Amino acid sequence: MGLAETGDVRPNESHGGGAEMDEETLHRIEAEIPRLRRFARYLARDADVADDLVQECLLRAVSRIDTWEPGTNLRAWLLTILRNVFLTELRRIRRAPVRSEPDEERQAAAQDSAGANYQNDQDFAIYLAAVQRAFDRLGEEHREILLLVAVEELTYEEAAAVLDIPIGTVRSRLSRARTALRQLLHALPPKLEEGAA
Amino acid sequence: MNGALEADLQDYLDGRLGEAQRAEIAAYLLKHPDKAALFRLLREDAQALRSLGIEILAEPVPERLRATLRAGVAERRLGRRRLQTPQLQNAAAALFIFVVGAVAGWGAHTYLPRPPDPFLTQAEFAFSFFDAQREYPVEFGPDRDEDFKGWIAKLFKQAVGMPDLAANGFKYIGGRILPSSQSQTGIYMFEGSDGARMAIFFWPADQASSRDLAIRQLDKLTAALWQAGGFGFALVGDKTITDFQPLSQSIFAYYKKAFPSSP
Repeated sequence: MGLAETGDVRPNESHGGGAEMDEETLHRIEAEIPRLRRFARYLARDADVADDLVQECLLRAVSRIDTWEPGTNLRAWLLTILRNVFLTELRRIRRAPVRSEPDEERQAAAQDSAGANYQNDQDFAIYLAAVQRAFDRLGEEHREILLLVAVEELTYEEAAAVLDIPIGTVRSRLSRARTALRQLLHALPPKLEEGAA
Repeated sequence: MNGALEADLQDYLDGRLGEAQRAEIAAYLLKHPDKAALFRLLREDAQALRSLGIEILAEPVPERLRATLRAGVAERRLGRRRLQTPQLQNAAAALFIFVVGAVAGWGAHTYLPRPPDPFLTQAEFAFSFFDAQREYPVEFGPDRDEDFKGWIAKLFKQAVGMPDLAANGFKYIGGRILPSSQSQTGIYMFEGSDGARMAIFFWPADQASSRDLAIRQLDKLTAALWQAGGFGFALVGDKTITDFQPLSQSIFAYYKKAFPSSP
């Protein structure tokens, strides 16, 4: 991952309204680092690789700070850069991005059952752990959309901008991802799949 | 119809609906217990997802990430200045190489243009502790000077001299090495005729940056901080030492001479 590799950052190429790298912006970016690390870790599934991605993301963010429009969601802007760093790295390593394969996911997780009718904290902790395991089994696209909307709580519009896809696609992908997760958790009435697509 | 409902359910789940639509969905769920059960599950999943990887958020951020950010910012600011004043180009380029080199190299050094506050905190804490040990403030007394010097040269990869402060009324009483989160810190301790103590702390820092003397007032102590020749320094002493400032200046001058700034 070279320092010179600053291309591939899409958001707001236009100049004029861009931000300055003042102390406040610096602190705000710094405050996002834990979330960037989490996002990267769930994308890359390797803590060291994830931190390398975040590091590259931070370098790019600083050098392209004038492409962030103050007033827009800084987190979404950073996540866009981070994701692009990840994709660049992925292309470099694998030549082609991995597609999600929900059928395999479902079968692989058949033994992982988790009811949502937990009675107490301990049950909830077990349920959380099951959700975490199920999440790890999701395909990349599904992990990504859930991370953006369900974990980082971006709006559909912001997620659409990060992923560079239409809002309708965000909606349907999110629905499929949630369905896949539910299937993995083994407590899903079979009907949802048909409706959500 | 069914498909539309699922989209609505999801919008409902993600709080994207207006009041009227929300009421509509709520009424629908009341009438369709199977859908309501499904919705409860989805909502619980959403709750669980919100705490996904929450333990990662609680981890301390690796220093290299903060350092990258600050190095990037420093480089960016240098870049700006370079545009304005061409005569600074070479110096800026040299510093840029150091910054980038440091980012790429990840030595166990601090090298960024920020005061070494963690070290000061450590120095303050360490000084207070050892100062309170009236009998055993040091590990290596003056009688084991040779051993101590040898160890320092090995640890820091070079000798670190010690100013003679007898003329200022302070005698050297010995020193020790402390581990720290980033490297190690050497301590030389001195005692005045009235028993007031002060200590010189030194630790590896960036070769490229030198920092002028800055005096800090701490709770019960006074500290002077500077950076020279690949070391960070702190002089920490009792607040009762009246000539702390001139003392710190002569110690600063001593190390500046001992470690002329690197080429």
